Amino acid sequence: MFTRHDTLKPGYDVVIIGAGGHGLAAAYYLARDHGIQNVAVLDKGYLGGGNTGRNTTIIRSNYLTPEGVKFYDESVRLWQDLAEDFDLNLFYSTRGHFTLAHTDSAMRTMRWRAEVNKHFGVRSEAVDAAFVKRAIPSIDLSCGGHAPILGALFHAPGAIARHDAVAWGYGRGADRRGVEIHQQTEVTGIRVQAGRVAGVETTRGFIGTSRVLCAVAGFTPRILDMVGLSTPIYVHPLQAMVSEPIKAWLDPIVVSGSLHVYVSQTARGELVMGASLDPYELHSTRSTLDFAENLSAHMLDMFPFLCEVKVNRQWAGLADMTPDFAPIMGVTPVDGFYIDAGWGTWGFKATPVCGKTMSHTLATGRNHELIEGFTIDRFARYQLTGEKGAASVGH
Amino acid sequence: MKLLVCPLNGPRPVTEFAYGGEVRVSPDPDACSDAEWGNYVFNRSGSPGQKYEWWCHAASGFWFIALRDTTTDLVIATYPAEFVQTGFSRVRPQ
Amino acid sequence: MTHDLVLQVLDKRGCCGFKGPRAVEWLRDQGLLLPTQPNSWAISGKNLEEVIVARLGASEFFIEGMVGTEILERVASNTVKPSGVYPVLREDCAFVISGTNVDEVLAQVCSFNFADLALAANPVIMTLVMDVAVLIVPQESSVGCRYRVWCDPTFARYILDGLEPIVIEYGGVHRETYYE
Ligand SMILES: Cc1cc2nc3c(=O)[nH]c(=O)nc-3n(C[C@H](O)[C@H](O)[C@H](O)COP(=O)(O)OP(=O)(O)OC[C@H]3O[C@@H](n4cnc5c(N)ncnc54)[C@H](O)[C@@H]3O)c2cc1C
Repeated sequence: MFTRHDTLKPGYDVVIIGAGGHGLAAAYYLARDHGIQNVAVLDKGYLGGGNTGRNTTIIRSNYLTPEGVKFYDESVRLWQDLAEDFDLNLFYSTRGHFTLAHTDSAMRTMRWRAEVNKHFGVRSEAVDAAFVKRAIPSIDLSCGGHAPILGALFHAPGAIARHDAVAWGYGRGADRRGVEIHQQTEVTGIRVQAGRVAGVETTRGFIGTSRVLCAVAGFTPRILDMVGLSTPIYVHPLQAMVSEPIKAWLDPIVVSGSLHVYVSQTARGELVMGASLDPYELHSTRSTLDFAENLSAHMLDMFPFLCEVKVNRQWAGLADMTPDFAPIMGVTPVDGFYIDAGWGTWGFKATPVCGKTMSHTLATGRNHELIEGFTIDRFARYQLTGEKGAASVGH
Repeated sequence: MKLLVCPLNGPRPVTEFAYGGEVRVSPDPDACSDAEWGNYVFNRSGSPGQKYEWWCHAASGFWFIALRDTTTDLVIATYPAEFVQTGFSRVRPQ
Repeated sequence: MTHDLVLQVLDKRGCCGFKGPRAVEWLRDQGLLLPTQPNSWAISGKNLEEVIVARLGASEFFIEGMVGTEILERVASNTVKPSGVYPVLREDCAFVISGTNVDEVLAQVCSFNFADLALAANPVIMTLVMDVAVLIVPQESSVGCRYRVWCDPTFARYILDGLEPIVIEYGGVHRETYYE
């Protein structure tokens, strides 16, 4: 699927650290839209082996801030013809997305989100419990009596897609346009001279370049240490699990913040399930029994009939979190060093728009207008982009 | 199940604890610049390492400090909360 | 199957808490017998005047007895306490769970291994039961181990509703409130 390059060139116009969806998408649009083909994408592991290959693939744009809604909506738009662009089936499947409300205050947030969304032309509605029941007949609206469902935010464009194919599609598209993808190549240092990027040190030698994009998700703080930048990013594991395949019964994507659950059913019939972030910092992708137990208990609150269904696999990724649940993107105080990080638990859906906006930013040296709310200097200005209400648990 | 040894309550499952983040020393709010204060409020040392952290045993409300390796998840030592005044300035990474 | 497993709310119990650098001294002056080790308990007084003192740390105490007990009323009264003695508001709900399978019941709702306890040391356990903080004092009795449990009263209904079906599954009963 990809060309193998046995040697690294002494230099490239752009070096991208991280062959996840974000890094590969940036490489793809750099080559396709900006005519910059002399690009190397480096990964210390294998292509798509980071959070891109570990995520639960929920795609939606029903966020809370104007910055967020506009940005994610553009991403949802870009997703639509991607499979054709790549000539690869992404299994992009529009399902509709329910964020359940179990309390009056949650209902109020849903109405708020629906209004912000509609204002920007995004299809979202606050709906009542009967509407939820019609769309998901097997749900126990009382949730075992613990947390009765009062209603939900319904977001019709909510979708899922095949995550590996996204990385492969962007990777192949970039590869065909001359971008070099080097797996098993870890960046170990970044050379900065007089405040400008001069190149990167790797486990396979030094590469000269004046532009570096850092798209390494949970490894971001380690790369930032190499250039002496501080950010609020903190890393906690995020776990997920998948059931054995069962006959199709769940069409929409269902999210409950109160019960810390989200679930969708894949084309193969597996239930893909996730919950909230692990409670403390850890740079390890181990799985825990606590997670599987709690998530199963909450799944059974909503869907008691699943009690005989087995969990097949469980795994984790390293989520790069920010205090306002918005990403950190664009130019940095180090000339030639660009960042696309802080994507935490919700960055898969943004893969296309991140590629688009970061390639523009790399090509022009100026932040794309869609990412102006996400710049690294917003913290020093005390101007956060508060997406917590819409980004936590929901992904 | 992962166990954490609480200095007051002994070994307990980690689910009985709340994580309070890295132990950090605030700059003098009256003397420091806005940028220094912003750095303190928002920025974190996100890379893995051995870190002094606040932990609370939720069942007893007992706060203490643990020195933990954030790659291996091994707790190297625990200290009573007073350690912030008594010993932390000696071991604190600058 | 044995049928001695019982879950029961205790009524007419009063409690209060104290902490601070001079709490030990002051409580002793009031005539209370204090446990010397953190996380252990001791009993002062006899019969209806019996009061349990649980030591929750170096200088924090929880005191419980029948409403009207002379010593409890005296320490809990609103009189000004000496400096270094700070009252802690406690309005805990008290209940008892006892009988043969009690450790199995608790194992369903809690991660602390009660089967492993050394009762002779009069231990006090602060742990989570169904995610709610509880204070537990195990006591040996004629029917085996008897656990006295205290929790925030706003969570009492939740805990009792959660424990009841498990107690019944193990052949026990949830008895009406009683006065001890
Ligand atoms: C369990 C889980 C569920 C999720 N669910 C969703 C969801 O439903 N919806 C959603 O939108 N988002 C979700 N996310 C978030 C989403 O997966 C991420 O935000 C997104 O995939 C990040 O993509 P990326 O390309 O930036 O990073 P990654 O895919 O993690 O790629 C980073 C790459 O960088 C490489 N790297 C790291 N350090 C170095 C180095 N020094 N040198 C070279 N290479 C290096 C790594 O090997 C890795 O391959 C979820 C995440 C997880 C973990």
